[in-house]
This record gives sequence, structure tokens and C-alpha cells, in this order.
Amino acid sequence: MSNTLAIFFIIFGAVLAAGLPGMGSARGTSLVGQAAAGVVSEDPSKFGKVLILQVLPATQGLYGLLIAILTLSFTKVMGGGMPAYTWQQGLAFFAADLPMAVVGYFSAIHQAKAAAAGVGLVAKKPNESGKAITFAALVETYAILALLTSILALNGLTSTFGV
Amino acid sequence: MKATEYTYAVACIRSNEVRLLTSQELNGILGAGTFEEAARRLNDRGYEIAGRDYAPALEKKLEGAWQLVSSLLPDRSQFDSILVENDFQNLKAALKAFLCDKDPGALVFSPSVWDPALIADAVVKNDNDKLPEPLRHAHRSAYRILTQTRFAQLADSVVDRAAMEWSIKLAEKADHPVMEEIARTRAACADIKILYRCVKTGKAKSFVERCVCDCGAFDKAETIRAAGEGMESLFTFLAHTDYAGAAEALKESPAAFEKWCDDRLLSLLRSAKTDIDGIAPLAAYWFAVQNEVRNVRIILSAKCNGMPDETVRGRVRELYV
Repeated sequence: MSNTLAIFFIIFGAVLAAGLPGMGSARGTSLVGQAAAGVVSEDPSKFGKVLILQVLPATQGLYGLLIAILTLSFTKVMGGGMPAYTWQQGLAFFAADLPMAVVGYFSAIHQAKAAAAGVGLVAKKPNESGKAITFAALVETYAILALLTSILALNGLTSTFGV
Repeated sequence: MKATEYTYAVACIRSNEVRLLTSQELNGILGAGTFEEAARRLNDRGYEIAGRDYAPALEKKLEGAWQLVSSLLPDRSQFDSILVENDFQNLKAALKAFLCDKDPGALVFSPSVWDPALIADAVVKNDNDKLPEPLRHAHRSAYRILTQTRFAQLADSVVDRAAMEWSIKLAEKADHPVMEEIARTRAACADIKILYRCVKTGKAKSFVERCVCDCGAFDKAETIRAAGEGMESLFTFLAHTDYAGAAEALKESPAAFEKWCDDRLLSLLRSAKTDIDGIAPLAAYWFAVQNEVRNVRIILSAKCNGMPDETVRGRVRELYV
């Protein structure tokens, strides 16, 4: 029973780590995509510049997927040879996934807002596209910090539990 | 209506904002030595002024801007509070044309919420039920005033008041705070304008009460009472409201007041410059184009009539970009 609950926590954590940032990235790229389409409809030559801005909020989805794979891999849920976990250990792995799940979701949406504002900047001043990308890219810092936190936590837990 | 439904529209508007005149360009046009030089500079920025008749080019500019804005609106009714004033102007034109046995076609205001021909037809047939609901009461009142007393000024003012009241109602219904703020500001400016005129022409309190709407910016009864005591009292009253600047502008001239009203409206919308979605950037763009066209009209008219640049400079509205 305890092992089953532990597996539930581990898999649920992995699902959230991949799902929430994925949802955030989907919403984010959609938002920037709409803004980008608005600009390109008036000036198709700006396609390349606004495309970079649209791609920025997509990274959180990839980070989330990475954490999900690492969780399933480190805990050996994926690949076989999984040891018996207590439910507390399962919960600890679940907690390790949370930074990426939560920060990934919100940072994708906020990065998309910064990127959509950047699309407006590119529309008015195409030469300032570098600045627009920088403003949006800075939001990425927090997604990267969350990614590192989750990786370090997963790493620490596997060492502690001797997996 | 979700604000995010406007993301595409706002980006389109941002692309079009680069086509608006900047202060520097406007100063250049104002400083042009001749009408022809000013027209040439404007034509370089997308106007199509041919000869001295610049009105069609300005109309075309406004039409183009409205076509763009209306094509980007996910729901056109969200703009009704801004457009409905033109419907009431069309009602006034239709009424006057009907009573003077003239064609109202030449007096059409656009863009409007309803087809001007529908309004004209209902007025000619004196069929109140055919009119859109917001226009019915105003039509009935104005028709009675015009046929029974021939008091055109009162009829106009009654229709103008109804226009402002419906503008506020439609803005409330649109559920965008910025639209309500626009409607209330326009209504307050219209109230101040009518109060100023009433004091100037010594109108009775009963007349004033029928013309002033409840804009929410200041207490209606108090304002009317202040106006009843004379111009100084009205200015003193306004000085203690958000519209203190209006009193200062009116002391200078009615033209300065008109400029103050336009500038105030645009200042409300200035924050929309950083919005990535919502209806505010579309409304701001529409008012910005109207202000630009107003400025161009003032400058070209001055160039045609040889007015000094300094006089014109005082009348030029602030720009959005």
C-alpha cells in the first residue's frame, strides 16, 4: 500500500512537472503568436524578429518534460529495478518536482506577456528587436532557477535514499 | 469579452501607430511656409491632398482608420458607446431636414451604430417604433419641441443630452472600464459646454435642467445651481472638481476649452500605449487619428487663410504617439 502511494506521488509529480509548464508554454506561445500575427499582417518582413519572441515562452514546456523524465528515471519507475519506497519518500520526490511545475507555468505566461509587449516594440521600432528579446529573456532566469532547484532536489533525494 | 481576444488587434494597431504623425512632424507642417508645402509634407506621410480642397483627404484618412479599427474589433458593439453620438447627430440632421423639407443625405455623420437611412426614413414617416430604442425618447421630445415651439436650440440640447446618457449606458454594458471613463469624460465636457453657453446667453434654469445629463463627475443639481449664479460661480464650482482645468480653459476661450477636452480624453488613453491586449489601445488609436485629422484641418485651414503660426499652435491638440 505504502509503495503504491509512493509510486502515485512520484508519477503525479512527474505529470505536474511536465503538464503545468507545458500548459503555460502553450498559453504563452499562443498569446505571442496572436500578437506576432497582428504585426506580420501589416508588415510580413518582421516575421523573423517576432518568431524569436514567440519561441521564448516555449522553453518552460521543455524544462518540465526534462524534470518529468529525470524524476521517472532517477526513481527507476521508468526502466525497471525500482526499489520499495515509503509514501514519505514518494512525497519527497513529488515536492522536488513542484518548483518546476509551479514556476514553469507562471514564468511561461509572464514571459509571454513580456514577449507580446516586445512584439509591439518591434512593430514600432524594428531596430530595437534585440532589446525586446532581452526583456522577455530575463523572465527565463526564474524558469532556469526552478529547473536547477528541481534537478538538485531530485539528485539529493536519490543519493539520500540510496536509489 | 476577454481582454486576450484583443492581442492580435493590439499588435495590428501598434504597427499602424507608426503611421501617425509625431510632434516633430506636426511642427514641421505647422512651420511650412505655404499651404502647398504643408500639403506636400502631409502627402509624404500618407495623406492624399489634391489642390486646396483638403476635406476629402481628411475624410479618407478617418474612413481608413475606422475600417481598420472595426475590422479588428472581435465584437463591434463594444464601440457603440463611442459611435452612438453620431447616431444622435444623424437624428438631429434628419429631423431638421424633414421639417425644412430638405435631403438629410448631405448631413450624415459616420461611423455610426445604425444606418443613417433607417433613421431618416423613420423620421420622415414619423414612425417612432422604427427607430432604434435609444433614439426614440429623444426623437419624440425633439419633434414635439420643434413642431410646437420651433425652439431648435432646446431640441438640439435635448438630443445631445440623450446621446451622452446613452453613451454612458452603452459603455456600462460594454463592461470595459476604459469605455465608461471615456463616456463619462465626454459627457462631463458636454455638460460644461452647455452650462457655459447657457450662462453666456442667460438661459432659464428650466432650460438648463433639460440639457444637462448626469455624467457622474460632479453633482448635477449643484452645478446647475452654480451656473444659475453666474459665470464666476460656475468657474469656482468647477475649480473644486476634477474639471478645474476646464474652467481655466474656458476663461481663455471656447476654442481653448475644446482643445482641453480633446487633450483630457487622450490623456485618459495614454496608458494604453503599453497595453498588450484589451480594447483601450483600439479606442486610443481611434481618438488619436481623430485628433491628428483635427490638427491637420486646423493647420491647413490656417495656411489657407494666412493665420499666424503662433495662433494655430495654441489650438493644436496633443498627440498620442
